[in-house]
Amino acid sequence: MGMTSRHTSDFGHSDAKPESAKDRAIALSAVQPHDSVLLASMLELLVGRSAGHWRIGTLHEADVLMFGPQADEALLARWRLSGKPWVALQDPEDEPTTASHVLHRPLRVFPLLALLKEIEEEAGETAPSPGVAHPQPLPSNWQLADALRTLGMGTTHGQWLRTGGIYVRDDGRQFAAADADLARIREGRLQDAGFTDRVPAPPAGLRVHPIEELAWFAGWWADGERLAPWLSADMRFRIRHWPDLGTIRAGRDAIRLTAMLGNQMWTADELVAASGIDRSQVVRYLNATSVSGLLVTRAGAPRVQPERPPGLIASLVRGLRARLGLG
Amino acid sequence: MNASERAPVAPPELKIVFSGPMGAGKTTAIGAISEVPPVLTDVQNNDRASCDKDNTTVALDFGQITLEDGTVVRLYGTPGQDRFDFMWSILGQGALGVVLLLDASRADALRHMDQYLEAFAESARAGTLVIGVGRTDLPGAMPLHEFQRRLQAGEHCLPLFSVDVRRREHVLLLIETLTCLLEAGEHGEGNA
Amino acid sequence: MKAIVPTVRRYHAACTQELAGFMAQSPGILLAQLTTADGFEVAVQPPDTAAPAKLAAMSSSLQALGEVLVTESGLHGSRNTMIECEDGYVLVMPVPKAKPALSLLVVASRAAILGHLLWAAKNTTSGVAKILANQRE
Repeated sequence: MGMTSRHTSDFGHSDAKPESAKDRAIALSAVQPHDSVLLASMLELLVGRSAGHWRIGTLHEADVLMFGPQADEALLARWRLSGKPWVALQDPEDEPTTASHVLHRPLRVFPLLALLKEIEEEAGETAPSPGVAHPQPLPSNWQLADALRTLGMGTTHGQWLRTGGIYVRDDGRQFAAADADLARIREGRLQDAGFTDRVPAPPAGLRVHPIEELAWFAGWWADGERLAPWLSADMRFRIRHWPDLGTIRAGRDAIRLTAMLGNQMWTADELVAASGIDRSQVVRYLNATSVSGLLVTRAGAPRVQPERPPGLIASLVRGLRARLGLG
Repeated sequence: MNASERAPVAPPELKIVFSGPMGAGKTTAIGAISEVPPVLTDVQNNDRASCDKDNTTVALDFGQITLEDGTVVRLYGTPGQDRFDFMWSILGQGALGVVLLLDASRADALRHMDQYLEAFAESARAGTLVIGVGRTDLPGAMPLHEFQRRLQAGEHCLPLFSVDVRRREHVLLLIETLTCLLEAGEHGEGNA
Repeated sequence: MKAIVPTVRRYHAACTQELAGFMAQSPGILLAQLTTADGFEVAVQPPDTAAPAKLAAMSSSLQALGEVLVTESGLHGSRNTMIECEDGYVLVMPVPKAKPALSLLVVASRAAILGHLLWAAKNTTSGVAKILANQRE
């Protein structure tokens, strides 16, 4: 009301959405809540001021990713592969970033408008910027896993997304499935058809579960040879927190790998060498933990690994396992 | 006395402590894996308002597992009620690791977790403490992610699982996780 | 806050009187406390005893450990648990046939004569047992 009349007099333009305005979405990652609210308000204010009709959206639909300093590096790496613009939202004194664009805090309308127009102009180019990989669609075996991984990072509407007989809440916290479908999930027999529609609630009679089980097995079964598309062999990994192995029941290799990743960072190759666990299992584990949101990734620094000879504990552990029939 | 006449060296004695609030399943968990019927110090519970159980542990539960090489691993269960917290530090001394059992159906479950992590701070810091949360499937129970959030706020990266200690395989999961933590710790990996 | 549970609250006054009599008749007694088997205080003398709740819990642990040690040793009928220190004694003695189960904790200096202490404690526990029996009738 007041805002509408104010922005007509300030900008001298009609605030009606031009008929040709393209619907464009910005996904947010690790952006402070008050910046998120402010951004949404500013985008409403700017309707009709640029070629596109900009709004906050989910990662799936987004044309642009705006991220704060604590954003997940694997998510950023994945976004880079898409070739789409990514905007670092930072304070002026923050260190320079490799993002394609920067927007300084505190958010102001004119710099935001200038950014949106710049992005729209760039989108009119026929070739991607030099140095950015040509955008590749995800292999089909990763569609569901990627969707689960990024659910909840964008705007949620309190609805459920359906894939086959499984329903996933759009905040990425829960899923609903019949027992038969849950068994298929655990055994890797789920048909990955992607999300087909949104519904207000899952059908009555389906049990609701925390998302962990679905996310874990979607990541586990996606690929046993290669790391997920957003992970790379030169990344170093550690675990953010332990998965609920009481629910997932993933076996001793998962327990051992998690214990190793508890407070130190390893590459995939280092994990294989140090643990003696089959490479395929290590790859599946890293994929599962990444889809579950448990994996912290960093590029670069070499790991210092203190070497200590096995002592009393090793023989105790072997004896205890044998005695309890743990193998 | 020559070498052959010297007394044989006794194998080391080691202990795992099961702790947690009253009714969380400590006695049950020890009973699931002890090779001998556990020794119990259960007496009639006169405070049904605090916990609706017939009996309560006032000193300790005791069980054991003997390994093939003769090493005896002692399993101690602590009393759950706060007034016996002096037993927690006594039993916790020298423990190889701690299995903390919690009850998600209790309104004060998170406070319990804080309390026991403080009581066994050394094990928590060393990363030789695993947490099993029971009754997560009951209506109104605290969801596991709330326990996880609380752990992370305290900068702990400790195993935290939904379990039912009436099932032996769940108790074995907790012990197996402890063994993996001990292994990772000895090799300079993980939390140690 | 005293950890007296409702089930034993009604014995408090009579038991306090019994303990007061015990202390008056027995030299060297520093403290006498009645506790439930699960570590709640029923009555204590002197009234200004520091940390009665902790003492109650500890004495119940000691009582339980003593009983289980007797059983595991192949014996039966634990009568009391005694700790002798350089400067005195700690004694935990169950009250016979008490419902709920109660024990008497006694802390005494070396001024106490051990034989007299045991005899007086036994009389006190019998006195408490009568109080409980009379209250039930």
